[in-house]
Amino acid sequence: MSGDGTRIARAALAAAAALVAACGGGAPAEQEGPGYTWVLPQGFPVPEVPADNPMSAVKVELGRRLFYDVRLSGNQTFSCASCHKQELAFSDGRARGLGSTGMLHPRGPQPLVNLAYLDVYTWANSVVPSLEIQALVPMTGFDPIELGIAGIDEEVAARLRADPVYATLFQAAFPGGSPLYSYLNIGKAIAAFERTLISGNSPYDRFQRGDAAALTASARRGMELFFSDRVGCAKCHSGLAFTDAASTPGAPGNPFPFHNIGLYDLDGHGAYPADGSGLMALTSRPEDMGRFRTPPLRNVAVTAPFMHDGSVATLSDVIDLFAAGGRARMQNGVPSPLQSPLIQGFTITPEEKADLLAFLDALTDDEFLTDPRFASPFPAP
Amino acid sequence: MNRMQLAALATVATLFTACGSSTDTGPQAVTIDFKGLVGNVPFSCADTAGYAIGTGTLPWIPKDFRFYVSNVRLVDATGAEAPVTLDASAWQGYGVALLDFENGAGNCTGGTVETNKSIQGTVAPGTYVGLKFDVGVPTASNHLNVQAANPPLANSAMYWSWTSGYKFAKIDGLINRATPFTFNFHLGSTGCTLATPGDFSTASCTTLNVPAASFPAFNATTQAVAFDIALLFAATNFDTADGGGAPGCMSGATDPECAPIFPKLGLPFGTTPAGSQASFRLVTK
Repeated sequence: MSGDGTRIARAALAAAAALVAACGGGAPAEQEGPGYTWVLPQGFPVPEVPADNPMSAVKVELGRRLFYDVRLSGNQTFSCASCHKQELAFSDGRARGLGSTGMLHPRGPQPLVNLAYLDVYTWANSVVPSLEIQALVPMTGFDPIELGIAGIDEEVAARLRADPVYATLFQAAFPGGSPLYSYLNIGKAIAAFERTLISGNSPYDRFQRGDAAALTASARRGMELFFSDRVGCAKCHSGLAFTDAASTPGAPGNPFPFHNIGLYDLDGHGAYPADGSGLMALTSRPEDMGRFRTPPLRNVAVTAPFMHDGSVATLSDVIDLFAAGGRARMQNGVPSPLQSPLIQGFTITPEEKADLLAFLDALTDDEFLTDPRFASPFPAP
Repeated sequence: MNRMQLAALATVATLFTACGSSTDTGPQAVTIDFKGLVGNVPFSCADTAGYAIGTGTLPWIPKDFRFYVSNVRLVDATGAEAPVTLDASAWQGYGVALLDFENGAGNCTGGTVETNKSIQGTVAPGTYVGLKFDVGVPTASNHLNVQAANPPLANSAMYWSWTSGYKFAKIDGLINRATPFTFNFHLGSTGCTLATPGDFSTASCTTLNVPAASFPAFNATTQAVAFDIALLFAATNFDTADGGGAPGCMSGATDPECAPIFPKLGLPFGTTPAGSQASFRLVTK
């Protein structure tokens, strides 16, 4: 209970921080970080960066190139971008991801939005400490195989070394860094690029900055519902990134933004399907069954299908599920014994639901989805 | 009788350890040879027809055979243990040695041409009759960070990235079922949490899964330590479809394929008791 109290307190703090952050006005601004000029939406704080991977323009450019390069998969058919497509906020529209060798991922590819502010990454992992290390998961994982380059470091290095563009970029990005073409350096460059994937110019953001016309009346009503105690979305989808898995730079992170929303209860004891047991797969703690990270919500409208396994087709279905107090409760009549006490259900009229959907739509940042800084540097095939 | 055998072994060991200068009181060098065996046959990636092991009929076709060894100790006749300090090399560092029996041939894709079949180090002067070691990476080094750039941890096949650590052993085989199936055996720590996000020093794992091997009578001159995967997989049936969890046994707490394997390493698995380590045995060099 105290844990939930802390969480709510944190959520409130983060929401307050977001409001303060939104008090600026005008166009995206350039802000100085150490040795690097960030392009940030007005009011967005300069992200924290690991001391051993400082930002630089050339490293970001290198990371962008690697992100889009199929030479980073074992069979040279897949890149990061194969499952993380810019026009879908770097998700891919699939319920479950598909790896370079045809293995199906038990979970759907995450959108990559505002990662620089997150405390934890991916659906259900509390031990991957940084974007740098996270990048190694799709590169070297076996279950499932995603990019499939575990153990072929030398071959991948040879592919990159043979490209004069990379020779220049790697040496400029990692002066004195040896071995230059290591997976750790590749992970660092991709992480640097990922930190630039910041979205904060949606109609909602423009409204926050004082453009009253940016939100329709319906979306404004939806916003009030979103932040209301009754509907309660913002109890978890809080703060700058609309998730309690993010924190303001300099503030201590939230170590536990994982919640069971009552999506499944297969056995009356809260069981989820074996290949999607959430955080429990990592921690082995029974109470972590079905706990997944709160997804950030910016650009959520372009990231269907929803939930870790893509088992909810539309945002309308998502609202129905939460209104019912979880899908397990919807189907079984009783809530899962493991679901978060924050998932209590609520009544919502069809008009209110339309308003809430209008608000979620207003979190779509078209500039982000089309920003050439985030697009492939390679010519279209 | 046992005492006499021990005494005889001790004499041999004395002869072995006395090879250096008898007046030298500095650390003495020690080499421990390992063999990767499938029964009595040396593991070879070139054996693409595979090996008839396990309880079923389909052969296990080699894809990988690597593991880390740490906490190496020699034991004297009184039972006192002397830690072996591993020499720095391409295969040793951070208190661990990587033993590697695959050579990248055949189906061992993602492997390395180079192999490593011995441990080199130094130990305090003495007369030793026994050997103890652990399989795995000590918790203090079991984090993907800057160490991952240096040998023997700079091996991305051994990264266990979803836990931000390392696989302790990676012993993979191809099973030619109707649909070819890779039976992975990846050993590593589970039940891991990070108390503070982003801070490796706050990591802990409830289930370490570090097997311990102990040989009270070991003669480094005449004997090698064999990791016999016919013994490791003695209770495994490669014919039957995967019962859930990861393909093969990847140490997940509820992965059914781990139940017949873990006890062979002296590890408990769920409600399956630990048993005693039965996969490592001593063989004549």
